[in-house]
Amino acid sequence: MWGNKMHSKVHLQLFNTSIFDSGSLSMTTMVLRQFHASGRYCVTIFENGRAYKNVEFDVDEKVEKMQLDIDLARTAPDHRRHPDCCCHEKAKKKCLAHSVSPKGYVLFHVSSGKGYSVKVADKEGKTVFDSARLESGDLFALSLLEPAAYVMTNTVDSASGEIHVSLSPEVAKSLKTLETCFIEVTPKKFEPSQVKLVSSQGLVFRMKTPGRIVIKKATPSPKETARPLTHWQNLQGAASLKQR
Amino acid sequence: MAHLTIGASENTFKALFEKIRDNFHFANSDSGDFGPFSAGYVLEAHLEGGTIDLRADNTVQIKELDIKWDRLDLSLGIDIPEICVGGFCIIPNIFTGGCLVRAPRVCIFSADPDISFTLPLGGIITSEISVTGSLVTKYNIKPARPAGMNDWDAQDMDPSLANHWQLFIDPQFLDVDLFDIADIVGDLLDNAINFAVDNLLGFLPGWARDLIKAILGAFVDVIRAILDIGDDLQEWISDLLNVSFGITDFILQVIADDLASKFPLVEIEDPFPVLEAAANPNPGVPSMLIPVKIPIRDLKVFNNDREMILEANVG
Repeated sequence: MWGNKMHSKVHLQLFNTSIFDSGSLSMTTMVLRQFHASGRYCVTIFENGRAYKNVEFDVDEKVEKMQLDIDLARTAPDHRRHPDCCCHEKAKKKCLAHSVSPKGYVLFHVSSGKGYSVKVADKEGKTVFDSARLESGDLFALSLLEPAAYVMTNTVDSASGEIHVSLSPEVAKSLKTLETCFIEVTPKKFEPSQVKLVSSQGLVFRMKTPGRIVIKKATPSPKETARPLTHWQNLQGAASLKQR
Repeated sequence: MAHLTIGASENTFKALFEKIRDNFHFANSDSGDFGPFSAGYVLEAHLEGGTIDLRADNTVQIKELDIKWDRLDLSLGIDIPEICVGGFCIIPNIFTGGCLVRAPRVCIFSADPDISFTLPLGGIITSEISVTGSLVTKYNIKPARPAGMNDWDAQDMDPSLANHWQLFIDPQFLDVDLFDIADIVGDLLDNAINFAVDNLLGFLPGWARDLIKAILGAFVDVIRAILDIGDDLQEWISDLLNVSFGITDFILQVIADDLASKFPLVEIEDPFPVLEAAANPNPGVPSMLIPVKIPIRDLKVFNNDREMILEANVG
């Protein structure tokens, strides 16, 4: 009856991920680094440990841009048009790289899929950033959606802590105004070591020591699974959806 | 002076009208794109009730004729808005109180999904129509009757191909109060929206549905806003059906056309059979006497406030 019916895919990965790893990025996780030295940087993107693409960016003092987002799953069209340009001396003149201020941050994130990591090399080819091992000053940010208890671990020094995510009817009303929660990652310690979050609330780990942050779902929160906030009927054949 | 004059009381006229009233049946459907949403309807209806008044000015008035909606399904389809997470502040700007670096948003759907839902309005809408018209006669020649067929052969055909005088109500004024929608339509809309959302997200775990609902806020309010319903849902539905889809015009047109030319109050065969075929009581040939028929011409009809009168000449 409706003519052209739009078909929409659901990112089911958002709802069935139970491990969040700064060294293996997925849809709601991201790492950030501030590159202080001006110049061109080459990013090697890894998917499940295998390098599959290079992209570049410039750090330029003349640029005021404070945030450069690089989607590891969907790199910029410029790079697609010149797949061999980046990090190859011969093709560098053709390469159109994005720029960011030395005071700004490069944010590596994933719009779909999982298992992504990056290594960034400076113009001399020296690796200056490896998302599998964050350094002091780096940031790891994520959103936890499923109400549950989680264990957070720094796999470099075995520091651990707990995260409890809830979604009660009361907090659901204030979802859009939630403040980001910050955790300091210090040698062998998370500060604070226990945090309470609301589903989808922002969580940022500030690295004060080398680390790789892994968050695993421990158990579903019994309180949350016992009774959904709303009792929607589970009907078959969701109309226009194709599950991814 | 007319050769024949027949009078029918108001009660007889009412009985004739009730017979044709029960023949009325409407069915229609349509759909359209209205920018932010699509809509469509399917309707089936019949007529009930009504009071008949023969009036002194040679008109007939039918009042409070109820349109009974056997089915009036209004379907609405919309794209629901983006449902995204992320966007939180990663590095606050301590000088301005703003945000220096913000997390990208991740949307739950790859494109805005569309949902559709149907409001079964048939049971909660009452509609009335009033008709004022005059009685007219028409002469009906059966299209299937071959040229040259005599009246006796035409009568013997099955079905009969005899010509008829027909008596119709020719509507001059139609007044319709099409949509008096019960307040319950608000609940109906809310339930339909929730049902559609169930359909859309039913495969997700309960907490995920809760989260999506929390992100969107009151889902019903969101959809009402997309549909631009405003404060008066009844008026919105009435405008959609009445103005956008022109259901009023459709109903009026069907009733006017059918009263004036499809459903005769009375049909009088011409020539009018007076005597059936019978055995010849006299000896000899033929053994059977053919039916006796008298031709009717100049059939006229009029009424006063007490009765309907038919006048005709023979010949």
